[in-house]
Amino acid sequence: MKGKDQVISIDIGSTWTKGAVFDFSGSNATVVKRSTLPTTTDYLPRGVWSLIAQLLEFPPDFPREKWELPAIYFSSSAKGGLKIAVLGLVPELSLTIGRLVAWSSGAKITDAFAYKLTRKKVALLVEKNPDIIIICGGTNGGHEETNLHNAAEIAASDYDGTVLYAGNEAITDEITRILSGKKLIVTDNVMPDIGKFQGESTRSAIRDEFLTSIVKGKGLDELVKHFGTEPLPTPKAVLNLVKTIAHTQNSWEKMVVVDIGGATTDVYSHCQSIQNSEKIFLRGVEEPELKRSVEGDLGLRISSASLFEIIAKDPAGANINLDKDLENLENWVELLQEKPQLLPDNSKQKEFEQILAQTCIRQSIARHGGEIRQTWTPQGKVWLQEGKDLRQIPKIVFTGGYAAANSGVDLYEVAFPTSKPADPEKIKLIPQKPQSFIDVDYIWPLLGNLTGIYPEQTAKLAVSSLN
Amino acid sequence: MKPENIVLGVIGYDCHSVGNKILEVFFAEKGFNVTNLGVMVSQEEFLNAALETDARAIMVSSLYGHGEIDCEGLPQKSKEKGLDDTLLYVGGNLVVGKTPFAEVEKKFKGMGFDRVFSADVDLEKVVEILRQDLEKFAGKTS
Repeated sequence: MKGKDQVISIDIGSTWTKGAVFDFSGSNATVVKRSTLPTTTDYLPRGVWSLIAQLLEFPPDFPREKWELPAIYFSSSAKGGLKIAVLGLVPELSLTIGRLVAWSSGAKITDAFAYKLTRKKVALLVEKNPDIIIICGGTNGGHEETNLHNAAEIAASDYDGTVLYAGNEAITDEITRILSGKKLIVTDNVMPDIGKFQGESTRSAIRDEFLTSIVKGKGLDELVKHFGTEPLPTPKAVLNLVKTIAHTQNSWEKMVVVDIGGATTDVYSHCQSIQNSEKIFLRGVEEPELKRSVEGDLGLRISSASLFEIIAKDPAGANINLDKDLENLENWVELLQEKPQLLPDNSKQKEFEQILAQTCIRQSIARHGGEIRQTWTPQGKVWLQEGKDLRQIPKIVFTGGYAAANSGVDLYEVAFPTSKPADPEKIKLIPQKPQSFIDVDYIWPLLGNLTGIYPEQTAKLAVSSLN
Repeated sequence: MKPENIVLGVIGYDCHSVGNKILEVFFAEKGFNVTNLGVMVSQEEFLNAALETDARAIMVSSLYGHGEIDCEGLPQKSKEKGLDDTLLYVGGNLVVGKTPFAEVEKKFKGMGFDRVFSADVDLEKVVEILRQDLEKFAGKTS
């Protein structure tokens, strides 16, 4: 029945547990079967076992001891996923880099504070109970005082998660002493020099931490024992996929992926941060080639209230013309708050859904990309760039439930209809007329789990499955 | 003794990069740990970099004659950022025209800079003064 080159990939989300059987026996990988069940939040493995039975078409009374399972890989964002708080020194420098590292590890950021912690901020921080608190800031041999202060504040608090120190390495010994009562991990400084991004050692420590302690207590350790494989945070799976595609597929070295969800809109990009030119000067941090950003106020269900606030501030920008429409949209959003599983079923509701999604796309891409402004100097015209330059991106992929339901629609074109006459002095660094694709089978997060074993075939299938 | 951290850059919309490179190499050879922010550096960038690196001195260059307007307020913002122990040096062609250097120095010291240098100053002399100033500072705080 099942070939030996078949594998199962599962993603345990906060609401839905999704899975698929893939066949890697031929030169082109294929999707054999795909299934979705509600996530059993009280005990995650129960839903996973039911899903596996469905995927492999086992009869309901078939005892589990007799199941013959192919290799199974999985990811999880259940119970809020991987939660990280970031403490940095200067908002534009170390705190920015600390946030980029946390996001590119697949985490959800619960808090991000600059400078010294006050007691009030400590209380806020601890209340959200992040899995990891990252303390960064200070270049190597640079600023010390704030990290020592913040470490002491955390040491004195009743926070019982993991503290990850990724700041000025010169004070590592003192930090280790101050936090001796807590679970502490020390990694390389995320910003060894001004504006320099160095995230690899911190990212790998976060991954190890996710596996050793965070997986426990959510029932995932049982799955690890049975499958013999370790889970990834869901966004990390997508990051792995983007990286693998960029490295193996022709004409896909530069790309953007937008994942429009119920609670957040995530944007992933793969390209150089700045285009080489003697006339462009970078301000602040040089962002990494592979970047993820998460917008907690842009989501189609749980975050639709904050999304509505953004639309209400600028209805014309969201293509809403009548006051009455705005009121109706507000009612619809209120309804979504009460019943997040609701789907639009008449043309007006579909239009509202589209307005909400467009705003998610427009805002999240604008925030992910940087900005460049023209300025005149006595030596001539130059450009000052902040953030990442996405103008060179030729391809953009939309994933998530909304995207899958809108196959055939150019979602980028819809979100950015007519390029307004650009302000020549100040330009948003967003893609210019990119080719739009949709993950119609909604399999990208699942494929992300498989890049470690079948990198090229997985990347090829991901690209060819797009519409 | 660990090397002292200093932050270096050309302020404002000034693109003169040659002198900036010379200063970087020179101070590094003299044993300083140099963070060079390059050309077209804003006041905020100087202060943020000094904060992250715990710099003992900020060395501001200006070659294009608009130094006065670019530097205005930097010493005050430095205090606001809590960089009370960071020396502020400025040097170059700070104003347009042939204003006598004594007047230029008076103006920039009045703005709150610790030291003011002309474009043709001997760099050896600058290092000597910097070391003396740092020693004085160290004596004060310890």
